[in-house]
Amino acid sequence: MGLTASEIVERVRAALPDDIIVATEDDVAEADETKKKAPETIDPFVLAKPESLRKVCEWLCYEPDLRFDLLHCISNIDYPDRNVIQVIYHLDSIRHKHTFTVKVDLDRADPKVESMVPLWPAADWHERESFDLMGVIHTGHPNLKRILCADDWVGHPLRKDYEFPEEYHGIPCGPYVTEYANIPPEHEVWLKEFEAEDAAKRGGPSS
Amino acid sequence: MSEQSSGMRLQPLGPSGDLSDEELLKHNIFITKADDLINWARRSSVWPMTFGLACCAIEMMATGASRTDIDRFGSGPFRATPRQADLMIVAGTVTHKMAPRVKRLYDQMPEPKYVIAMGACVCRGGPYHKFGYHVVKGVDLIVPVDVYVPGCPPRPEALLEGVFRIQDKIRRERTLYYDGQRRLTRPAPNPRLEGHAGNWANGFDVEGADAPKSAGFIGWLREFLFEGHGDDHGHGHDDGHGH
Repeated sequence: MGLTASEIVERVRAALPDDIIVATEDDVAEADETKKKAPETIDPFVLAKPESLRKVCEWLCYEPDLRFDLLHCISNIDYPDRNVIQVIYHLDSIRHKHTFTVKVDLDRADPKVESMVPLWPAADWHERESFDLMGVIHTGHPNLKRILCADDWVGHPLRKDYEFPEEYHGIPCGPYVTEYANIPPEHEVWLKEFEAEDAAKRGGPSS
Repeated sequence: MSEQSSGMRLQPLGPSGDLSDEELLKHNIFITKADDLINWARRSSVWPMTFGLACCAIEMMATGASRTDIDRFGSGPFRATPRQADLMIVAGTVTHKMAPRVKRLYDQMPEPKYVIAMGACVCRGGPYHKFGYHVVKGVDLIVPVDVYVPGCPPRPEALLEGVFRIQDKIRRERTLYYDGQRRLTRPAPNPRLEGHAGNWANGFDVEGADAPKSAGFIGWLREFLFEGHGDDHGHGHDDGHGH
């Protein structure tokens, strides 16, 4: 097996001290508290500065002992109270069989971060999804357009302050469409005919 | 009695030395209503269109498999083009991105056409009803639905029952007696669509007053019987609705 996450954090800290944001004491205390309750939940990670994310990732990708050659997933978290959108890169090394997580905090009003497509081509669709649902601009992406929603969709649906559109192309799509369809009178007549027929098939009048 | 003694052999058409004309007629002719015959033929060959949108499509495939063999009821041939299909089984979540495609496929189907809404998502939005920003809250906002089959997903038997209800509707149709309401069974527009532009209710007349005439033999027969075949003009292209 490869290195543990704590060991990798130490390696990153030693190699790139200026490019990561070291956790504050409060953060560490909170993490420790959580870890006491559920020891498996928190893995050590690195919070990179947005402008040097590319440098950190490149180092993780090419350092011979680490060789993070696979990008699993990119996930996003919206923190409206902190005015932060967090982008999380889940990395894996097939050669050394270890995993690691890099996070980056972006300004919620203008979330911009460099694209990781040149490093990991797998980032292509993940970054498009991140742009589509959370509105993160991945600068340098070769084809940054919506991937799940329709091209003319308005807004980024997974943000906490997202509001439903009233309608989309004439189709009502609010969350509280609750009126039920009227059954026209001739359909009720037919319904009774169907029921009578069914009852006859079963060999007796309906109760 | 004579039939029993001689067996139910097929008799040749035309004069036969063995049988009297009366007996020959007895063997070869039966009398029924034209609508009954046409409806029998139509409801015995409701061909669905091949397309599935989500997990309900798996159950739709299971309906076509050997345990509940939908081919027994004439709905086996899933057609690869809407031009040859009578029935659209909307099987799976309809997203707003997919909605225009579903509508277009429906529009490309020839009359008479029927729609089964299969599964909770297609009926009312299902689990996405409240917070699904991307899901159309019921496919009846896009196309008129004849039969709703709830379930998540419905069992194959339930879908089969939906096909039977379609057949029940077809059995009650009047094809030849054309009074501007040929398709009595077409669903009424959904009240949820009121005030929304661009929905299917605005797209075409649902009462059947402008229902397109059937092509082919049925259309010819109806025109022959009811639409003034003695007139010297207006073969098939007159604007007036026949009486």
